[in-house]
Amino acid sequence: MSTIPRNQWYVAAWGREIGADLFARTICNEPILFWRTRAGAVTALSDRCVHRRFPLSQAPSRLVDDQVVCGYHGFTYGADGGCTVVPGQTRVPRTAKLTRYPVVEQDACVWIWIGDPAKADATRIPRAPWLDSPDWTTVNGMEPLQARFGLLLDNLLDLSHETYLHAGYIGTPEVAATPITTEVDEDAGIVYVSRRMADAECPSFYADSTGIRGRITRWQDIEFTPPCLYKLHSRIAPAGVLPREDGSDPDAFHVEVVYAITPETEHSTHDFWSVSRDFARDDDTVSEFLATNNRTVVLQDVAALNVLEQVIASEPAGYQELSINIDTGGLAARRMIARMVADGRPADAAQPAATRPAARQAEPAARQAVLR
Amino acid sequence: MSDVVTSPPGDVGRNPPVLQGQHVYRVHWALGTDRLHAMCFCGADREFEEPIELWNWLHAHPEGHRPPAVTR
Repeated sequence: MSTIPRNQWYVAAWGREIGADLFARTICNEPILFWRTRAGAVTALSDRCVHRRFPLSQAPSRLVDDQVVCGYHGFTYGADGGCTVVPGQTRVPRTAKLTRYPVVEQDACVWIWIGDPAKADATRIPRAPWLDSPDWTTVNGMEPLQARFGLLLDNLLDLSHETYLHAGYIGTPEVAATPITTEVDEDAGIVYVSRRMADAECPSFYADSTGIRGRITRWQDIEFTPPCLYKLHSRIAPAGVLPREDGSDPDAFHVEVVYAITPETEHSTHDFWSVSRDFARDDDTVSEFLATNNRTVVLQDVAALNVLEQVIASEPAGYQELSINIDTGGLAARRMIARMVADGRPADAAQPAATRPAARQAEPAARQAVLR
Repeated sequence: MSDVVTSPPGDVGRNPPVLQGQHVYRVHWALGTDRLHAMCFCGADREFEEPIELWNWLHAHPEGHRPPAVTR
């Protein structure tokens, strides 16, 4: 049984990845073909010809005037998925149509809806405005992860692992030693984990990018909107420096670390990452430093989780694990994902509503959370 | 979708609430202890030593949840 929630929005690509050439990526077990039309819109279609399933992203398939021509027999499809040419005959069979996926390009991301297209509501896509804001400078990338997406969720929802797995980069002793507060809004679909370090060692990641020497006040606030978008609101300031009474915060450095966690298959994940900053915005050296270092940190996670996937995949079902206080947020995310999986199944297989948490049985509230 | 503004200054040990929805669960890891302090949106609260039992209790709302008595 699949562990991937359906009827959800996922990040399929960075917007910059998709141009006028055919681009293929598997999302939630579905092979999908992308290109940017001459009008500038991203289109997403099934990457399988309806005839004999030849991948339309595979040469000699090609794009001609916003139509994709199958490289096997010449079936031709428009950007809406409709078949326009069938080889050797004039009649186009009624079923000769590619699945078309709802797509929204927003905040430098290409979001795709996996599930029933009739249920796709673009207003439910969580926002990450830093990613294409002129007031922030962003570096980003994507690393393939050969591990199930749940392992990356566990990893990112508990940052105490920074002290050990990322020592010397972003980890310092205080990260694993500072108590956390976890908040969960079931209606809005948010898990929020705060870790506020009043007097902490400054890791090289921030010392070299901000120029701060000495100890720091370091805030790490995780805002996760399952199943895909993870935001780490990071605030770094000289030790003891807090935001001003009026809410402004000119004496601190702010970094927004965003991850999009998109399942590729049941056992592999697209690990999209980005780092946005509100300081040294025109300094290419800082951009290069943050890009290189964050990618290094991501690859440290990837290496560890790839090993963990191999271990878990070889374990018998129902293997034992132990959860402790640091896992409070991760467990909340797991439960929310599990409900999404149940909700995304066909009606006759879905979990009875009576077994869901009470908050989920209440009148549906606006998904937009009110934060302060 | 969410709007985030700067959190107000405060005690960095006990983080200020951020989510303001009607059905928000809060869990504080009590400073200097191994205890987790769970607070339901209904007002009930309880301490736990590990998170699985904690979430079972929170998600069981209203079963076993008794808001604190009002004192005058």
